[in-house]
Amino acid sequence: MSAVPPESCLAGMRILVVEDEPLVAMALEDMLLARGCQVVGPVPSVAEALSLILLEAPAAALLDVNLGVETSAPVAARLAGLGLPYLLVTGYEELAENDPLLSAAPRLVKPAAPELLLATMARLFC
Amino acid sequence: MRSLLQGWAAANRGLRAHLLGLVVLAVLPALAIGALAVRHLALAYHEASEERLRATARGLALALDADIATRLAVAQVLAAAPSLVLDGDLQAFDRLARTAGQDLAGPDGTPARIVVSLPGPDYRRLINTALPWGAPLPSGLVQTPDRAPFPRVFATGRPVVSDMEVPLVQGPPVTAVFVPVWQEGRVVAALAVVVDSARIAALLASVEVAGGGFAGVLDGQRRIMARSAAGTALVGERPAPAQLAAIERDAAGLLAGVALDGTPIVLAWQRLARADWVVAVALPAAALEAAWQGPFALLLLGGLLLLALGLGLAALVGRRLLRPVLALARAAEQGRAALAAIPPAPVREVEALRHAMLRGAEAMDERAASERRAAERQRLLAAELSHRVKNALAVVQAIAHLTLARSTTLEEFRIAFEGRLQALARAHGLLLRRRWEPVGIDEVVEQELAAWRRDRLEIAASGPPLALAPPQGIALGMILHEFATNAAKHGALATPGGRVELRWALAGGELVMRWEERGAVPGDGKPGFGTRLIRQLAQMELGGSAEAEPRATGMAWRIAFPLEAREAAVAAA
Repeated sequence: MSAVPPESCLAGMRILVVEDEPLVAMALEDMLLARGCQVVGPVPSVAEALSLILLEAPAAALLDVNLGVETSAPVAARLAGLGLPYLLVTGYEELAENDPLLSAAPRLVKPAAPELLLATMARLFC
Repeated sequence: MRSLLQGWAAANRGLRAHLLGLVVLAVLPALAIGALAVRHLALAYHEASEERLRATARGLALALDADIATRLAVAQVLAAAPSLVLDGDLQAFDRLARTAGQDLAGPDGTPARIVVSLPGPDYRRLINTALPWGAPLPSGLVQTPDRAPFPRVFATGRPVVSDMEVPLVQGPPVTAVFVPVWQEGRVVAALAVVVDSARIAALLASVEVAGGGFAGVLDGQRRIMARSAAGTALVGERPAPAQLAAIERDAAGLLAGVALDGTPIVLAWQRLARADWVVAVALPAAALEAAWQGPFALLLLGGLLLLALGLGLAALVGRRLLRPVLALARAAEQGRAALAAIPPAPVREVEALRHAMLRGAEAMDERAASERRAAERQRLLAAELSHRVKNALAVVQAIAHLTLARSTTLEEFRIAFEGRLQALARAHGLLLRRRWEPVGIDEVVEQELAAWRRDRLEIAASGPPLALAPPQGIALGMILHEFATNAAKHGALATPGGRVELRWALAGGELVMRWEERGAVPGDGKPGFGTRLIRQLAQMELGGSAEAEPRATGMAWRIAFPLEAREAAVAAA
């Protein structure tokens, strides 16, 4: 078992935030900025997320699974295709099971404690 | 019987057993009635047989009487012949007698013999046609005087019919009729017409006794003179004493007994009128019993056959009935598809049962499907609820996080956090009351602003009652809360005489809402957290924009987002 990397490794990392709930998105943004991350987004839809991946070249992503009328599965697929790590933050445990990619992905259940979120990000993204 | 039937009905027996029981119940009474009828017939037949025996005995007695009468008549004619009485031309009489004897010949052609005897003491024979004319004639005294016919004729002057006699010369047993020969008022001689017993036997044999019976004649000493069967074997024997006693008692009758050869018989007898003879007609008891045992056995056999046939049919019908029923029972456990696959039953009631079961199975399937759908709906609802609760908690967490980061004192945090939480709760409450259906924009406005109006703050709102999707309703509620909070803290609502106007309208597929504060000094214009929240909500949740337009008279906001022209389904109460 490898040692858990310190959260400081997240500093300066470009992280895409896909979240359709504005208040949650703002809170995530604040938290990432406080750790020195560069936030790409936040965006509430698949289309905007895909264009930001192309334009802003994030190094990793936090994905809300349920985006109202759609899910972030296409975003996860694109990230996986690029070999970029991502973490699902969702209230939808069950619906994610329908998608093989999403159900296999690492995931935190909302509402997640900021410390747990950061530690998980550090483990996955560094 | 009643408890027996109840017991039978109460026991849980198969259909086949019930059918077999039915057959037995139906056949047994018929068999009993048949047995009664056969018994009645058998009795009638028995009586008829006995009556026929009696009639045969009577008929034979009449015939024998007639034969005796004939011989007596011939004898009396001969006894009065002139050649015997007047002339004494014995040779002429002998010729006449031989001619008459020919007429009374026995079955083998042996003529009857004519014997004429003179009175005692030596009873010398005058004529005997058994011997050639002119041959020396022996004396005929062989019987004891009181029983012997010749002495009786001379003593009484009346005809006598003899018992069976065995002749002096060798030959078959004979019987004879004797008449007196009168001359000048005196019996001068006696004339006998002697015939073989075979003549009697032939006469008996001429009448057939139905059913293997036979007839016989007993003479005065109750010896058997002749029989229609068994030849001369039993001639001379006497019947059993018990039978003789009955025969002596009555002139005619019927008895059951045992024949001389040991066979059980039924015997009818009739005494003759012209002689002390008795005609007996016998039938083997077996033949008589066979007359009713035969039909009875047939009935029994037929009844058993009928019963077997009935039981066999019952088993067949039972199987025919049971097969579809059992198939139904098996299919019912396997479900509707198995029921539907069963071919139509040949029995209407079973077919009706099948239809009913099919309908029942369909109803059950329908109910099961309905329950599955309900359960699925329930599961989806639970998942949706879970999602919303977690999302709401995430939002609360975010509000707390964001508000805390911008608060300098705990009191400031408490007021701001509670206000935002209440705004969120109000928006959710409204949507909950509307069951998460589209909600009127005026309802959202009224709901949010009512809280501020309670503090006698001047807010005027106007616009059409357009419908908002639930997330839009929540976002708009939160935005209005931020507007009002800012106004109450720094703007028009914090200034005496200050007021706010809120207007909205739909134009070109876009809803434009204006928040304009009047009577307030413009703020420093530095965008705070509230401003950022407003913009984020407008962009991400409403898919539009929020522009701050500070003026000399006070703060103003312009919110625009796309909206379809649709009235709220439920008007504001």
